[in-house]
Amino acid sequence: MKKSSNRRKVAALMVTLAMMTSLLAGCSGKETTSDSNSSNLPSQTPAAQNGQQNEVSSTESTEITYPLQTDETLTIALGYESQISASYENFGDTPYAKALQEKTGVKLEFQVFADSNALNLMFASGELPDIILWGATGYQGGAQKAIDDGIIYPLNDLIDTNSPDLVKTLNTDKDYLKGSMTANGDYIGFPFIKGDLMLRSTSGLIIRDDWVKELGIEIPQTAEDFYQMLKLFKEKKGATVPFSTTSFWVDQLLDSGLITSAFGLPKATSYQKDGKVQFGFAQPEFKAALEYLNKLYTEGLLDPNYSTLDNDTMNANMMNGQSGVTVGALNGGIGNFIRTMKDKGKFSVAGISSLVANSGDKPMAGYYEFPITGLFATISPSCKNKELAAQFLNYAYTEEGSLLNNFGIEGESYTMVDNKPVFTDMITNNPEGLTMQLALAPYARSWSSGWFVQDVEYLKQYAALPQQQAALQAWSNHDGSKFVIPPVSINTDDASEYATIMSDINTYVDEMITKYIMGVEPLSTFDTDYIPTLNNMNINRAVEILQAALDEFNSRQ
Amino acid sequence: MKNMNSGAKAISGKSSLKDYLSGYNLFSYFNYIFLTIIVLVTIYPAYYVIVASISDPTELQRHTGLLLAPVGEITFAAYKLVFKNPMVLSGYMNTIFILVVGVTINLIMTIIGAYFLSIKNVMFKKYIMLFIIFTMYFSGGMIPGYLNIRDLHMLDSIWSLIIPGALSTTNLIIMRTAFVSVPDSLVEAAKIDGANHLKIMMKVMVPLTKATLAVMVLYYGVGHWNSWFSASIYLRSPSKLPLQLVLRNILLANQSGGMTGGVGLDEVSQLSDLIKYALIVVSTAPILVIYPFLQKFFTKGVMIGAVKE
Amino acid sequence: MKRNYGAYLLVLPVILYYIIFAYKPMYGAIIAFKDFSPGRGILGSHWAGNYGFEHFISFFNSYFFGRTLKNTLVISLSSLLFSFPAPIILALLLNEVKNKFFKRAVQTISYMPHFISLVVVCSLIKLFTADTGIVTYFLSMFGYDSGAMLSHPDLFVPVYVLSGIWQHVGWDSIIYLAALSGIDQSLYEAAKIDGANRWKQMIYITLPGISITIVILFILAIGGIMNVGYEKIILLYNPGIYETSDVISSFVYRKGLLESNWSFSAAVGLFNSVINFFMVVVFNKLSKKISGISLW
Repeated sequence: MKKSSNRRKVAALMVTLAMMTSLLAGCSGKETTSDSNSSNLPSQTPAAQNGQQNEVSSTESTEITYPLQTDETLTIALGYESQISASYENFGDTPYAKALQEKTGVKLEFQVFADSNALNLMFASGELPDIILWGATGYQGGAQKAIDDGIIYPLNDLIDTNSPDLVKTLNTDKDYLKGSMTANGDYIGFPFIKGDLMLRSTSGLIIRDDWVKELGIEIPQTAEDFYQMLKLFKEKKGATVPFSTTSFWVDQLLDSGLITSAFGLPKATSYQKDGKVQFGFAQPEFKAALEYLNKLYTEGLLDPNYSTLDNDTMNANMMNGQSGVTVGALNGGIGNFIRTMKDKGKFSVAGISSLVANSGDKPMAGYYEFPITGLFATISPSCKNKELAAQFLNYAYTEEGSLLNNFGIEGESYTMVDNKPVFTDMITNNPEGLTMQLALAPYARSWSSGWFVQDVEYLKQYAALPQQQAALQAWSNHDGSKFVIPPVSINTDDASEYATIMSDINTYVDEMITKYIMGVEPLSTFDTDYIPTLNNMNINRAVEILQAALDEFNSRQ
Repeated sequence: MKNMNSGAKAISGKSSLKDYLSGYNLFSYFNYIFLTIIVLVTIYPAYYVIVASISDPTELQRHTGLLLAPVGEITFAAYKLVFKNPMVLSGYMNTIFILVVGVTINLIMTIIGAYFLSIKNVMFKKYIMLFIIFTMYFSGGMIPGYLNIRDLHMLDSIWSLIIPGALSTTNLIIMRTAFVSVPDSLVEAAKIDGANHLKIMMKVMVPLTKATLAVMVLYYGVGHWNSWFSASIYLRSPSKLPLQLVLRNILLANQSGGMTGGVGLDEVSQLSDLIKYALIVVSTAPILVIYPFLQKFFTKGVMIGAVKE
Repeated sequence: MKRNYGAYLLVLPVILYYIIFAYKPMYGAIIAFKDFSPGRGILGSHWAGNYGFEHFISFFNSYFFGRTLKNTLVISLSSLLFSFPAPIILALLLNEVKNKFFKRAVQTISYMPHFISLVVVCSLIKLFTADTGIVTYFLSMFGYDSGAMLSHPDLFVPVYVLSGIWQHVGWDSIIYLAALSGIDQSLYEAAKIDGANRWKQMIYITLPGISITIVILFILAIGGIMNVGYEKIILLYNPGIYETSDVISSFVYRKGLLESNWSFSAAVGLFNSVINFFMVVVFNKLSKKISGISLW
C-alpha cells in the first residue's frame, strides 16, 4: 500500500508540472480546439466568444485543452442505475464512460453506491472517492454542513483557473449561480442543470381531447369550464368516474397549483409572493379550492374511490373510458396512454394548462422544478489532485461535453443533421424493442442526470409524440418561476425545528384535505378549527424560518 | 377399572364405536372444507402473479377486477428480459454459495448455542441467556455495524453476508426450546454411559430434534435467499451481488426513470408490470422446489419410544 | 463445574460471535443522544441539546405522538390477539387430517403468500377491498354498503390484521407442525385405549406437548409490541384514515423524507426497544411464575 501511494505522489507532482507547463502554453495565445479524436464536430465556437460579464473575476481568458495530458486516475462514485447494469457489469465499460475518458484524457475508476443509505455509510466511514455525484443539498444540515463536515471541498480556489466553462455556464443565469453556492459564498460543485423551462414542467392535467372535440366544446381554462366538461363526460360519454386520480396526484393538483390559480392561489405548498414566504394551505383562498373539489366529489365527478385508488386502476380507468381526466407525467402518463391505446380504436389525450380564474389569464403555477436540482458532482477533500478533478469535470460544460452528455456518441447514438444533433434509429426505434431510455442509457446521461446542462433539444426528440410536445407547451405555460421558492438552505440550528413542525403540519393538512374533499369534515370548520390548529402547530414559526432562509438566498451575490 | 370398561366399550360396543366415528366424521368433514377454503384463498396471490407475469402488458394495464386467466396474448418477454440480464446468473451463483456455506455455519452455531442453553445445571446459563437476548433489543445501528465490518476487512466480500449473519437469536431460542423438550431420561442415560457434552449433543439432542432442525434449515435458508439489504451496503462490486439485490434493482429501474435528478419523464417500460411479477416467480420457485424435501421431516410423527439406547 | 468445562468450550464461538458483532458496535446507540452528522461520525458528532435528550423530547412533544403510539399499540395487540393463535389453530387442524397428500398440499400451498412481495400483496388487498372488490361484495351480503373499505378509519385495523393472517398463517404454522411432530405418538395410542376422544386428546396431549413452543413464541411476540413496520402501513393507508393507520414508524418515515435525521430515528428506535425489552422481562417473569416456562 505504501509503495503505490509514494509512487502516486511522484506521479502527481510530475503531472502537475506537466499541466502547469501546458497551461502556460495555452495562455500564450494559442487557440486550441479540444479533442483531436472526433471528426465531424460542428464548428467550434470558442466559449470565450459569448462575451458575458464574468461575475467571477479572471484576469486571463483561460481555456482548458482536452484531452488533458495526464496519467492519473480519478475515482468517481455514482448512484446505482440498473438501466446500466442490465447490460454492463461496470459503468466504466459503457460507451459513454469510454468516450468520456478518451475525450478528457483522464482515466476513471467508477464506484457505485446502491442507495442513500450506502452513500451515508460511505461518508461515515470517511473513505471518499475523488468525485461524488449526489444530491449535495440534501445532506442533513445542507450543503454548507457537508463542506464543514469535510465531505465536500468547495470549488472557490479551483473554479477560475480550472473550470472556465462552468463559470461561463453559471454566469448565464443568476439562478444557476445562486443555486450552486452556499450562504457563505462557497461553490458546492458541478451542478446538474435543467436548462429549459420545458424540462421542468413535465406533468400536469391530462384530458381526453377527442371527447372534447366530439362534444363541440373548448379545452377548459376556468374551473367552471372544467366542471362543465366533467359533467358532459359523465352524461354524454358514459364516464362513470370522469376525473379519476389517486391521492398522490390530488396532492399534486394542489401542490403544483394545477387548479389553485383559478382561486387566486399559486399553489398549496410553500411559495413566495414578492419576497414574502407563504404556505398555500393556510391561505383563505385555499378554502375555495377545497370547496370546488368537494363539489366535484359530491356530484360524482371526482372518483369517490380516489383516496384508496392506485396508479394501475387510475390508468386503467382512463384507458377504458371510465374516466376522461387524470393527472400524469409526460411519459408515464401521456406517452403510456398513447402507446398502449395505439390500435385500440378512437382515443386521444392532451395535456392542458393549469386552470385559471378568467379565460385568457396565464396560470400562476404548474408543476415546476428549479433549474438547479441539488444534484452535484462534488470534489472530496481527500482528492489528491483537485485541479485535475476540476478540469475533468469542466469538460461537460463545453459544447463537446454537452453533446456527449445529452446525445451520446456521434455515429452511434446520434448524427448531425443541418448542424443539429439527431438521435439515430437505434435510439428512437430500437431494433430489439428497447425503450428509448434503455437504448440511450449506455451512451449519454440526459435520460438520467449528471454534471452538465440538460439540453431541451434532447427532450424534444425523446418525447417525440406530437401529443407530448403539445403537452410540454401547455404544461410550461405558467408563471411558476415567479412564485417558486428557490433551493434555499435553512441554517443548521433551525433545520431540525423546521422539519419537526412541518412533519406535524403536513400530516394534519394532508388529512384535512382528504376529509374536506370527501365531505367527512364540513368546510365550515376551515376557519373555526383548521386555521387555528395550524397556528397552534407553530406554522408562523415555520414561515419565519423559511423566510429567513429566503432572505439569505436573495442576498447572495 | 373405569379405564378398562370404557376401553372395552370402545373396542366392542358397536353403538359407541359409531358415535365415535360419526363425531370424527362431522369434524373431519368441516375440517376438510375449511382447509380447502384456506387453500383457495391462499393460492390466489400466487396464481395471480403467475398469470399476470405472462399476460399481455397493455391488456393487463387495462384490466380491472379479479384475474382468472392470462389476458391478451401470452408472452414470456418479461422472463426473457430478466434472464438476459447477465447479473441474474451471477446473482444465483452468489446466493447459492451464501446459502450452502451460510446455512452450514448457521446450523453449527445454533446447535452449540442452543445446546448450552438447554443444559439443566450449568453455571452462568441465565446470564449468558440474558447476554444474548439483550442484543435482540439493543443494537448499535447500521453505521457502527458497517464500520465494524470494515475494520474486519470484510467490505466488498461475500463473507460480509455470511459471518455477521451466523446466528439468529430468535432461531437460537427456538432450537433451545426443542432441546429442552428432549426427555431428561435419555440425557441421563447417555451420561451414565459416560458421554461428554459433545456426545450428548450429537448423539441425543440432534437426532431427536430433526423436525426443528429442518425448520432451522428452512428459516435460515429462506433468510439468506431473501436477503438484499446487507448486500446493498457492504458490497461494491456488481459481480458479487446476490440474487435478490439484482432482482430488486431490475424492478426499481423499470419503475422509475433513474435516480434523483432525472428528467422526471416517469419512464415506464411496457414490461414493467410483468417484470414485477416475473421476478416474484423467479425468486420463489426454487424455494417451492426445495421445500417438499424438508417438509417430510416435520410432518412425520416421532416414536420416541422407539429411540432408546 | 469441571464436568461442564466442555460445555463452556462448546459455546465459546457463540459468545465470541455476540461480542464481535453485537456488543462491539453497540456504542453506536449513543447516536440517539447526539446530533449525528455523517461526515463527523458518531463519536465526532455533537451531543444533542437538553443533555442529549433533545430528540426524545421532540418526539414526545409532537402533535401526533399520542395518536401514533395508540395506533401502534392497537395494531400490535390486535395482531397478538388474532394473528398469534391463527397458525396454531391451523397446525392443529392440519394435524387432524389423516390423508397425507391433502395435509401436505394444504401446508405447502398455504405458505405461498408469505413469499409474495408486500407491494403485490397490498395491491391485491386494495383490489379486494375496493368498492367493487370481492371482499366488499361478500360483506355486502351481510349488509355492508359503504364502498372502499380502506377509506374508513374503523376498517383499517381489521383489514391490516386479517390480511396479515392471510399472508402469513401458513408459514407461521410450520414451527407448530414441527413441534407437533415431536409429540410421542405412543401417548395417543395409550389415550385412545383409555377412551379419550379427539377433543380430550387435544387438551391433554397435543396442547401440553407444544405448550413450551407456544409460550416461548408468545414471549418473543410480546417483545415485538412496538414493532409495527412502516412498509405495509404506507402501502395501505391514505391521509383520510391517518387517525387509525398512522403509526410511529410511518410518521417517522414521512419525517425522514423532509429531512434525513439519523439521530431522531435512532431516538425513536431506542424508545421502542426499551418498551419492547421491558415487556419481555415482565412477561418472562410472569410466565415463569405461572407455567414454569421462561426464556431465562
